[in-house]
Amino acid sequence: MVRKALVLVLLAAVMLLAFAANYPRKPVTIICPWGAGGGTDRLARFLADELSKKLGQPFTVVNRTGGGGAVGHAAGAYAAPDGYTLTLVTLEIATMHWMGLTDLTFEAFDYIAQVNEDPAGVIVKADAPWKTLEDLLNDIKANPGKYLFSGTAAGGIWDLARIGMLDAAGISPDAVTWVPTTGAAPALVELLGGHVHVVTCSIAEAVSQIQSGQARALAVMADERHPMFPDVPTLKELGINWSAGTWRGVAVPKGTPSEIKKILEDAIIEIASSESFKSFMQANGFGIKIRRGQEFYEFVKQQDQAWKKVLELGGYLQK
Amino acid sequence: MQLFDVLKPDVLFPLLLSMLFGVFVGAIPGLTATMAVALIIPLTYYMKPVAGLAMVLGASFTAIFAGDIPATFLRIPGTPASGAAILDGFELSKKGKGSLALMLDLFCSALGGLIGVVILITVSPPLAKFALQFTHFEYFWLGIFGLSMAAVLSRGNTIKGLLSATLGLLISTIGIDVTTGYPRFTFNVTELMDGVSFIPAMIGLFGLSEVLKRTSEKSRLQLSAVSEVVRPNLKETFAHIWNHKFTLLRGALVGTFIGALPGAGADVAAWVSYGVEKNVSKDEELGKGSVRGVIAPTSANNAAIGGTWIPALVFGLPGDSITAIVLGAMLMYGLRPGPMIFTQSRDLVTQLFAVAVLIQILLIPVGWLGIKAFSLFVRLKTSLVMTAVTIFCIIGSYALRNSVFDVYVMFVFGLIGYVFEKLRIPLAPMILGLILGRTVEDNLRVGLIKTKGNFLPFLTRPISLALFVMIVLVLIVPPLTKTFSKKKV
Amino acid sequence: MSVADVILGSVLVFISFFVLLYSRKFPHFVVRGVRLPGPSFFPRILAVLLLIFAVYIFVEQFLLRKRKALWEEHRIDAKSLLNVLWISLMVLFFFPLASLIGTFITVSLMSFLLTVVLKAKWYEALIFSFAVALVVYLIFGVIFKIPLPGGILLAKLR
Repeated sequence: MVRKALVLVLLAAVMLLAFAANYPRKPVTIICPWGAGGGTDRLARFLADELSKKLGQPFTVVNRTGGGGAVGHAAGAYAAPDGYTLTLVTLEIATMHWMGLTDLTFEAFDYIAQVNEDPAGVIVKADAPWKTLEDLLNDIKANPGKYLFSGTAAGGIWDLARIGMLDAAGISPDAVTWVPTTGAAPALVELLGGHVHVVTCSIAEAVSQIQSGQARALAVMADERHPMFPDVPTLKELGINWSAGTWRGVAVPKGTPSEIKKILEDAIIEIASSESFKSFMQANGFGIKIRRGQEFYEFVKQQDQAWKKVLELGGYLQK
Repeated sequence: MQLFDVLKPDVLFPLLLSMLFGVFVGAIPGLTATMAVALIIPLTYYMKPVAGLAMVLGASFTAIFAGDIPATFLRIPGTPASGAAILDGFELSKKGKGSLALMLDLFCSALGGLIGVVILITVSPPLAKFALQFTHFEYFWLGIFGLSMAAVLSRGNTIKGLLSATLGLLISTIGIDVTTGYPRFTFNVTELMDGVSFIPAMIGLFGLSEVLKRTSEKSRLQLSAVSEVVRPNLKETFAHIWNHKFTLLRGALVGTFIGALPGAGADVAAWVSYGVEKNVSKDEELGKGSVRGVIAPTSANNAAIGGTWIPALVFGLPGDSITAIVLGAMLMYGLRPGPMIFTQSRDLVTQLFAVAVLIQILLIPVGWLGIKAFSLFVRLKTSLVMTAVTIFCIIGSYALRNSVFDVYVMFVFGLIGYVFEKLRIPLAPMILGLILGRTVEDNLRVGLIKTKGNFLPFLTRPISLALFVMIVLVLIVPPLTKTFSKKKV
Repeated sequence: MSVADVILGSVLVFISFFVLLYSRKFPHFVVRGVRLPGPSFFPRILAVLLLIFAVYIFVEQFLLRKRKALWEEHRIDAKSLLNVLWISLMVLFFFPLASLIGTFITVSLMSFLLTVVLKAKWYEALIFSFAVALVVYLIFGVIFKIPLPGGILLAKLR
């Protein structure tokens, strides 16, 4: 009797192993929580192409937009944990539940690998009076309430980056006014039109404007200088202990078999280390940051707490 | 010469293909030009940049025109930009003049598009600079001007028209409030966070409600949905265009300018152009099947595409969702959009302009093919046509975001549309409210954030003031003069 | 007096009161001590407008009584209402069914049933519904790569 059970268990184990080792046996879906044609979508499609080549099954990108990323992340988290639905997770997974937009937290996912990180920049119009970040901050201190900042919606990532920076510099976030927009592009329109004074948004999103000399970056909110703009100092160099930016990576629903996660992790790390990935990211102005599964999870966990504090400062915390 | 490179097969063939593709995308509600462009872009990484950009331009120009085809025949706008075609275009089609409406549509789309492209080629930099002057204060008045159209659209029963617009505005407040990040009327439904999706709502309001209406008219089920045989009457078409050449020109200029504004696109352009035409021409037939009502919006929405490329090329700033994708693609081609593109990639820009002009010429045969094919479909029995329309309403609403929730949104709006028509409440003002609700609200409130609660800048900034005075002139003065002249009699 | 318009007015009153009450819990919006129009500002204006329209409709119906009853003009007979019901059911159950038996079969089946309900000949319906399914499959599934449900039952067979 015991023997029979043992055989059954063994058989089941072998079958499970065989099943996992055969991954992927059918087409895989990558959910992109943002719209087709945007930066996240382009990254998702690049990864999908490379994964298809590498693993021999078609990987297709499905855009599930809405709710400031909540719809796509939820769709990815609640899919069957069989490795056939991946999600391109973005920073919003660590912020939106604090704002009361969804019940979904970062714990709903198992993390495969992070591939990208884009720091925020402090961007002003080319003819702005401030030559350095220090000029700007001193001016803000001297004239609280005078200057207009923009970059995205209220409580969005670039708003939080601004709040964190001002707080770290010892200035009340209330000393400047946030002009909410629907994203970085309309905020840059406002900046170039002279309707707002400073935009804090991803350096990647303003590459065209900075390179063509229409706008200047005063600082970058990262630990290291940006490879495309080596002249722009980091906040830390200026004595302000604050880094902020958006990041992207691949995750699967919690409970996905670890064999499958291993296969995916190895494949994605290999892709992310390739030359073609580097040139793709370079062309788009995206920064590369690779973190393996466990490390990525720890990072998201730390981000979740870090953003909670900033959301509280800005008065956006809902629970 | 570089310029004639665009006539070589490696550009011309993809271009034609993308234009045929654009006909489908435009004529089927739920497939948008943005989706088509997102789909085309990955293919173009393996082509010359000019071929890739030609495909994007081809698909977007053709799709905007093709959206008018189902709007004219079945009162179902294929794209949000063809919302205005359900008025006079459909009325003409009901009178058996559908082919006239569509021929006018086709030629005015091409001519309007051409004017837009010529403006893009000649005065991009100054126009773009001027467009940057527009900010929340100006967009607010632009939105108010658009909304004022609600009264025009509801002639005969102004109260019910305004009621319909108000409901549309109220629905537009559902979702996360951009100004504060607070979710309004979402009842914890994640799908509602970004608001009621506009395209499924439009498909329901016009598409499904039309199906419900027509299938309850039993006597007509076995007849053709549209009995008219489409034939091109070039002489009549050109006569009309010549008689209304200023309508066409006004439409194209308004369209190009609104397209060039980073905060408004082809859909707003069509309505504003309709409004301008109403005020300039004083045509009492407008809305009842007037040729002017066809020409004004259709020349504006195609001209607006040329307009959206102005800030994109000059500043590297997207004017709508299509140019946003294109700007991303340009980075992939190794191009840097922005003021330098005119000098650094001069050949490419020249070729791009040549392609844009070429598209307007090709639009005539391709568009005609689309009209012909669609007219064959609608000549089937009403019962068959309505079945197919129902299926396409369902799949089209789903396809937009791969969301079953949007299908239910479409259904609810279908019922609303059906009941409203029974109650003689006009539907067009509701769409207007849905399109412009956020424009008006967000720009007013963000503007007030900038001014710390002071409304005065809405009236004192030069462009704002000009827009305000214009609105007062067109809205308040005509009714007043009317009452006074009545009293004299 | 038109019953329909009176119902319409009542619905407007209901919506209006709902918005006014529900928006009470929306937060205030204060920037550095200055209270600015917040999330409830716009919905409330609209709710008041709706209330005014409702009052207008009531006044028109009960006091002026000038309107002819419009509803009676195009009273719908039971049979055409049945068509409306059919189409509604079809829209509502399309995706639940499609996730079971696949989009292709669902489109064929539903369009066949609807054309038959709308009194088309059965062979017409058969050819037409198959053609619609094919076109849907080609345009949405193949060209646009929309992930249409493939059907759980069919997946089991594979």
